[in-house]
Amino acid sequence: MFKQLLPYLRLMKPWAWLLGTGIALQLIALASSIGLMALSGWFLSASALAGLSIATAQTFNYLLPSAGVRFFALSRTATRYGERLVTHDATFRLLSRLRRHVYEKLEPLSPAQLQRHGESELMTRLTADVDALDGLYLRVLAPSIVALLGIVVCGVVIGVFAPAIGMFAALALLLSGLLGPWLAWRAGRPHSDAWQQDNTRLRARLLERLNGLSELMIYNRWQGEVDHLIKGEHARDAHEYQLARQWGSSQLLSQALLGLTLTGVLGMAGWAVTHHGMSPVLVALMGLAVMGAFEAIALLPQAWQHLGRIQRAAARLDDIQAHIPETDFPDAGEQQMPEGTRLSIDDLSVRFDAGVAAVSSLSLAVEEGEHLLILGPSGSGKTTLFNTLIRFVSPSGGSITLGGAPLNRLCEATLRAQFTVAQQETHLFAASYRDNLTMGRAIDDDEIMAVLDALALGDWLAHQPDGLSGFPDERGSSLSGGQLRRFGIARTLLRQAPIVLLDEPTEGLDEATEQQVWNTIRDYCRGRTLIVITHRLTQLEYFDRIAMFDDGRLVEHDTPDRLLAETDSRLATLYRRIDPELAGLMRSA
Amino acid sequence: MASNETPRQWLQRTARRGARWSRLSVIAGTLSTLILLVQAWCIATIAQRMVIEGADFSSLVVPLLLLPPAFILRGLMVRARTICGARGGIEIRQSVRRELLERIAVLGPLWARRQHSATLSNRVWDQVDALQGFYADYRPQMLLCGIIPVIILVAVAPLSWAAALILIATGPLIPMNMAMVGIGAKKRQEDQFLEMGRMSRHFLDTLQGLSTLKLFDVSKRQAKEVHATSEGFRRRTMRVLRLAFLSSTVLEFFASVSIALLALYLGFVYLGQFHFGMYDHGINLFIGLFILILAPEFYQPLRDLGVHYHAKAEAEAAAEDLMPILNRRVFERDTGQPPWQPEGSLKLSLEGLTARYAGRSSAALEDVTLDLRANEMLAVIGPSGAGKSTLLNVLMGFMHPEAGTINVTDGDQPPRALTDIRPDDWQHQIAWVGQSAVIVSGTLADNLRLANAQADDAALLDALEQAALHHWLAGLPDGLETQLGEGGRAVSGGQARRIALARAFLRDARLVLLDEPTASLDQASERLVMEALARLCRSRTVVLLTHRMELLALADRVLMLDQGRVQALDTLDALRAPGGPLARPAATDMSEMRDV
Repeated sequence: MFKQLLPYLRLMKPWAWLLGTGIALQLIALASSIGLMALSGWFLSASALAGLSIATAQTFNYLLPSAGVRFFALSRTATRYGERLVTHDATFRLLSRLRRHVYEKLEPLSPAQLQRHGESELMTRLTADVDALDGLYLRVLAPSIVALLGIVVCGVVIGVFAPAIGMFAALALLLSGLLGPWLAWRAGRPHSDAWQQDNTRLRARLLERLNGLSELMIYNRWQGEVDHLIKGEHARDAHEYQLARQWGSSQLLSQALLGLTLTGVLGMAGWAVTHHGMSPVLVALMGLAVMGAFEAIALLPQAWQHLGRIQRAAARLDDIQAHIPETDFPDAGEQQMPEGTRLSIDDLSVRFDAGVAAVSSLSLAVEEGEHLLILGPSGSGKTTLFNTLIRFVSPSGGSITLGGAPLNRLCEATLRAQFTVAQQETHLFAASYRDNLTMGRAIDDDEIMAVLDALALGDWLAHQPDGLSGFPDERGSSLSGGQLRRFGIARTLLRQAPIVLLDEPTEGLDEATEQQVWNTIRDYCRGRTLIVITHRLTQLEYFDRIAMFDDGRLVEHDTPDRLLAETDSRLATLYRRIDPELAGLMRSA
Repeated sequence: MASNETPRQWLQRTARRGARWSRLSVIAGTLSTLILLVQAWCIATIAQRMVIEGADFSSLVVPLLLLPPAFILRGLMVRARTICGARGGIEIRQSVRRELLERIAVLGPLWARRQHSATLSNRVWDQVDALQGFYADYRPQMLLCGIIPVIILVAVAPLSWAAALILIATGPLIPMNMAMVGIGAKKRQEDQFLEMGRMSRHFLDTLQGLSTLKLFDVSKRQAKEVHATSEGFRRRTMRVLRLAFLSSTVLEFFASVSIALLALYLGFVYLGQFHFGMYDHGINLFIGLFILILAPEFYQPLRDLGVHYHAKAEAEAAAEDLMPILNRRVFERDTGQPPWQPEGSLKLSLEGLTARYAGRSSAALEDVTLDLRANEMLAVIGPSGAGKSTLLNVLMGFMHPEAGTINVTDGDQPPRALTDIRPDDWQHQIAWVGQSAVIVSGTLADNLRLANAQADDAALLDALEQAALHHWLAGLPDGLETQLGEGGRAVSGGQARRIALARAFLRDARLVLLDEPTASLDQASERLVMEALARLCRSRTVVLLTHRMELLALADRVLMLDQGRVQALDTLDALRAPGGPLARPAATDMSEMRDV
């Protein structure tokens, strides 16, 4: 059950000394706490007993115990401060390591497959999971070890005077610290899972409904949606309430067991005093030592609660790694270098988990410097072909060669250097616009400005108070949808690579801008291979060749002239299907 | 609803919604302290009888028997506190969330779109959840910080004034010292909280941009970046924490020192060294131990409060995000207009219409005057930002023009100003097909009846046929009863758009508004949607926004907007005639193909 946590425990190795120091300091702080209360109790009892007669009062050595009390008071304060600093520093060091570890685990996974798993939601959850894993040492490991050792300390303090009572105290404290939280942890799991499920579902639903707000309001249905969401929330919160109840009950159980432990210790101590001649001044010491150990035990329930969260987080991370394939690249030394950039696709098939073929038996060659337009309805396999070229998905059959070398024989750096790609979605990083455009390479501002101007983003940039050094605001609202797409194209065109892949570069742009964007793309791609995906009949004549896709297959490919001239080609048929009235309009133009 | 309310004031005001549970939670916490007095009595009594009185074991039976029930009772109180706190938090959250959702309708879709739906849903969902810790834990604990120390003082003072004095002397020093260390520490804790959030966001940003990083071949290098950013965060945070922990250390210091002082004071009293601080009855071991056991509890509430500090910071950040939504002033429309139920076709005349978005200097629509003829299909074109969507929003009643009038003529009836028509009556006459059609979870029939709750099955089937969905319907296992949306059958973009069209047919509205009804559809879907549109618009007044030439050919007239002003309004042919604004060189090259 704790196997999932092993890799994370291993991550801690380099800082073992730091983590150990943290725990040691925590333990000293706890021991000081127990010592302060127990010694004070003993001191009171002993001095009260001595004070009964003047003679004993005067011979009572109060120097040592009073120095002890002061020492514990100060050591408790000082170690508490040191302990906090050390454990937090250790936690943050682990955190850096952990984030890097998780990143390195995710980096080789197929991005296309990640996207299919609902990337945005997945990543948000993942970040929350990593935040939860951060707590493994600070919230689970350290308090548990300290509580266990604290119980031992308490047992020893009592056991020095009465071994049997010490043993009983330690065992009973252990039971009271573990039983309640453990039961709550077990009983709570189904509720936590149900809560998580409801939460994800309701969040998604809310987002979907907010997107359709206009329509829902026109049809007078928003109130109904509100009621539905609130009803769903009530169901989700019912689980949360159940968890709170279980939690309360486990606290009750712990308290009851602690009460019994204390009663047992005091009863046994009383019995030992009256029947076995134990010194009566030890009774208060024993009672107060048990109460001092409560402090450590009080940390255990929280630790268990966090443990549950951390285990779920670790399980989800494992799950992602198990379900999303990695892409293997050969090392730089073992790769086969491509000669030229001719792309040759031979009998390619791509299949996703469900067994549905996204691309089947596709054969196509793209010459160096050729401009190819891929046309086809949405879902016809165009984007999957792109993803296969950049090895975001692996083919289930057939092969692709680049400059004569099989694609999977290129090392990652070589492959990436061949392609510059604009995907449909443009991710804007929380970095300056400049960094977002250069992506870590040195490009001078003039060159950047030139491409932004050419893509009709010059006006937009002129309105940015900090120009290229400005940051997109955290909600990404500083670029409209159409602007963001052009920004993505700018970033792609700025990168020098022999093959340019653009996925629906002009969707959602008005005509004038669209024309300008096309001109810019052509300008920047002169002499490079260009492959563009679109589902609109547009700009055909500017391409050397057009490939028509449908249902994962290549239907036809040829020069635009020839395809249009051929009466039963798919492209020509599409034109003929157009409304006669519109066709007339075309002629009149 | 003061606009200058601080997040803290808002949190306080909102607390009233769960006041009952919060009160119960505080009562349970108070009772739990009272039970502690019993526990302390038991332990002190046992010691007194054993040590001082040398009594027989049988004299211990009463306190020993009292201890377990006292602990169980205390446990029950802790349980009650946890449950009531959680319950209060849940109720407040539910109430705030309902208010937010209802508020969104009042503020309108236009406002909602400006917020970005992801941001808005984050507020309505996650930010509201972020209030839980504050109401469930922090706030009750804060109240207990004022109650528990007083109870302990009241219990200790009659036994020894010197002991009470030690507590009083160190007690108020704590808030004072905390304030002094301090004033900075609170700010620093907030900074740390901010840093923490920034760190998470940086990591999320990196993960979400992973495919972009790969494409630019910097993803391997980024691992170092992730580590470096995190280390930078650690150094900054540790600087903050070194000082921030001082304030809790001060608390710790006073708690420890006062226990030590009490123990020493009491010990010296017993040994006859001290003779002050007590009343006539003196101080015996019982009193001493009783005080000693209670002393840590005097400081405990404040220490617990520190544990929940992050909940407070989180809630204040959330409140800051939520308040602008809840406190935003809205344009109140009167609803006393007489009912309106048009019989014939609608004619609209817009005169001098000017509309502006809040906070913008330039108008989105400026002095727009035009007639929309009965049963006419008017296409609206123009570059993005020309005012096309604004026009639609004004027509739907989601945006209120700052100047100008819209008059509506129903057949031969005299014209009536749009402001004299109840919003509900008006919206009832509108059918709308936007860029993304809503599919609600439910059956296909439920989805269609959104537009017309009274429609019978025959009408639904007819509407589906009109929208060219009958072939799709034939393939559905449960026909009209097929479940769509969440957990049901997936609906493609093209199908959703046609379901929206079917709704428009069912609605039988006089005015149809279309916003890029064919955007991002594949060719086959686009074809079907266009055919359906042609049927839908036959006997209705239609306004159509589009970038696409192929749709323009369906329109009777075309309105060209630019920067909020009417640039031209005429038939497509006239606009395309030589010299017209849409005229093009008479080319037959294939660049014209896209106009098909």
